[in-house]
Amino acid sequence: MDVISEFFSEYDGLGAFRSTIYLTVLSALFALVIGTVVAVMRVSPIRVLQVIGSAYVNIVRNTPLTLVIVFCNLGLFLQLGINLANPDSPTSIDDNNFRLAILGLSVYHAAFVAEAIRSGVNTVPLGQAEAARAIGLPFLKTLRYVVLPQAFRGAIAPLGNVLIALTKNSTVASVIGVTEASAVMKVMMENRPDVIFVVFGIFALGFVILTLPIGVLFTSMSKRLAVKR
Amino acid sequence: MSSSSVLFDAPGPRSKRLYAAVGVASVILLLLALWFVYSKLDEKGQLTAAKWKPFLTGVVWTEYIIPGLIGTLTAAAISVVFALTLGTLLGVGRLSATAWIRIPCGVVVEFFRAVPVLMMMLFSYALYGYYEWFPSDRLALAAVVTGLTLYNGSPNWSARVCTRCRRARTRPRSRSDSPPARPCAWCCCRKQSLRCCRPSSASWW
Repeated sequence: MDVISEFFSEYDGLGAFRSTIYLTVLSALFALVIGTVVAVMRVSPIRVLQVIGSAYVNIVRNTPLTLVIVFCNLGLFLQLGINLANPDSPTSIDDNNFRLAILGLSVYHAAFVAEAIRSGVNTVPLGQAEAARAIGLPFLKTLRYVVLPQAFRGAIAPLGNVLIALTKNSTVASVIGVTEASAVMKVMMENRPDVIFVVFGIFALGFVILTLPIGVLFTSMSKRLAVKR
Repeated sequence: MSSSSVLFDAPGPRSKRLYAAVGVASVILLLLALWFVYSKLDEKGQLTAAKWKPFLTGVVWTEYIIPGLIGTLTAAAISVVFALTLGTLLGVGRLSATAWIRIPCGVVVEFFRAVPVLMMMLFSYALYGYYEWFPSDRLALAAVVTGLTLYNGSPNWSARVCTRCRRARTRPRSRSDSPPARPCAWCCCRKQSLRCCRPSSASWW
């Protein structure tokens, strides 16, 4: 039982899960924004934007997340000199890695969000877009007022799957030194190899507590908010 | 593309000009971004021939890149086999008429759906290392394969088997809705469901 008290006192396990939650929530917001923009680009009438959008999705989706996040650190920060934190603050390196991890997670999951939204666009009946065009709405207004509101409601279930995947994938942020749940678990396992089952159980339970409600919530939302046709 | 073209009319002269302008602007933005990356890399001397020369020497390929790729493919190939086995068992187990089989299978699947694959790899690495179940040079491979098997096999594959079996059971009535439907679910659905699963399974390995 002393492992459980160590989890709270010595290793700050709750703090680790707090940063997992921060990573997840912030990346989810950015990924939703980027993903929506990419999805709109892919269905837009402008050829160049279509090509850029589909190139983005195909390249990012087929790159391992670990590579994306390591690139954020080695490529963006060390080579291109992109610093997302105040360089004068004492926690500058940690802050910067945390924000770069959020950037990497958002960019990676935006590709999946874009695909989810595009599948949502496909659930909107053709008549809706035709009616919008018939009353003279241009492309962006057709999307804004007619197609996207219905597409989001149709895409809730796949978006929920992306959010669950994002919650779990936030553990990959540990490769650039962000102290989130899996990094703390690794340290605990190295220090106390005699109780690895308990340690794993605690952290696994944490993730079950995080992801199960998301699944239940999104399943019920996808049923409740589905457009009745 | 047929679904997206319904979103906009065929462009008139004004729209054509607008589309062309936006297209050119986005190409310019993209080129600016690429130029920024290029100039920064050039500034740091990353583009000099010396930095890229290692890729032309044989040792880098034979010692690092090719063994790395082989390692990835080995881990993937082994875990595909294990994941298919585990997933099929769990998927069929979830359809069992016996609650003692159905509920544990469901719990196992939900558990491994919730836990990140990286954590399962770290755990099995620590586990195998502590109990020395594998020689130390096979430790990492064993841990990766365990993680991938549990992660892919249990939720992904079993869910597919499960849905396909349900569908197979309702659709061709003559084959599996005969009176002892449940006991023979395994033998009736197995072939059909696995055949249906094949294309979708290709995407995740």
